[in-house]
Amino acid sequence: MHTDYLTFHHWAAFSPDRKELGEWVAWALGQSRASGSSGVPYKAELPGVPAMLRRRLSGMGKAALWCAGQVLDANTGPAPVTRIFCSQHGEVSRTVALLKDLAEQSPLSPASFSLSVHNAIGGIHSIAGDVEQPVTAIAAGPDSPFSALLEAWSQLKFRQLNGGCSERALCVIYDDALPEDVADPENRRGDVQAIALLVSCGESQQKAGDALTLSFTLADDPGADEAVAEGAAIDTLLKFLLDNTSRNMAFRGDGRTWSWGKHGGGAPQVHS
Amino acid sequence: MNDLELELKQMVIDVLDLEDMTPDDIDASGPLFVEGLGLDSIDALELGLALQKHYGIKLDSDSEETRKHFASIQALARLVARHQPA
Repeated sequence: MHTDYLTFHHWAAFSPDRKELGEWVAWALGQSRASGSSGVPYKAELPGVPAMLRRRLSGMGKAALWCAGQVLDANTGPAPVTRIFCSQHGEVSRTVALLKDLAEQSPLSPASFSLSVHNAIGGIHSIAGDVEQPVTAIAAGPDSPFSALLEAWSQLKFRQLNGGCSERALCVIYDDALPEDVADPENRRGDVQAIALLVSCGESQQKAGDALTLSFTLADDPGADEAVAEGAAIDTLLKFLLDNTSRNMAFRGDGRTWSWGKHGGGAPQVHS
Repeated sequence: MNDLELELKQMVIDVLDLEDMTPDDIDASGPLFVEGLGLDSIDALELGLALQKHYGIKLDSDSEETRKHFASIQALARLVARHQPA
């Protein structure tokens, strides 16, 4: 089994209940109960996105781009060379609404159709930010968040083998609760609605600064004796990043198991 | 005519998700697309669909006529008024 390393430089996460670093840390340590400080759900404000583009984003899309913006603003290192947008179900509310229209033989909304595609949020991000680097959109079942990190690692590793040095990738991962008509009790939305992570190909040795390097392996055949994390992958990932007492984590996905380990260092920080 | 213009402005705001906009923000004689209100080609399709749903008007998506009807709220109001029973 091959082990590789991924270094996490910055993160930001959003849900209507939590958006501040401290709120997520308390959540990761199992200390948070109340939603938001005032009980009013958070809304992801995107002053940097022109209003005519912003109107096209769902609440989830806004959450995703808010996280991306936080991480890009916090980044003092090199700008990302590639951006991965990842969601298990994507804009599933739009998709279900379109399917209902089809069933009723009503004409489909062109705007809704264009925004239901899996790369819509990444597309709006790239238009709003004049992004010229590649944007990849992926969906990979219940372990989608880990597949996004593997995709980032693969693209960075490929560039590294071709001379790229210390390059970074932006991963933006988001999912909403499924609409009631298709809701699967086994597959509830996580506490995290969206998360953005700025990563680089790690070294086996911990580097300087706040960055956190994780080892990871991917196995087809899960070890029977390995403790496997419960819950949504997106929650499992953030909890593991933030909980310093947790040194190893395994997540069983669709026919494979992801194993992650920590090698010193603290959680990556978002500098305000 | 003014009631119809107001109705069409509200329809444009609703179907195109023009957040934070009120009918007063839209100039009835000003261009809707590009340099005016800033609508784009997807908005044009969406607006065509709304006219069909609300007023039973079917437009050809790439005719020169359609461009004229979509020039402004006033032009849309003239189109809708022609299709409404007297």
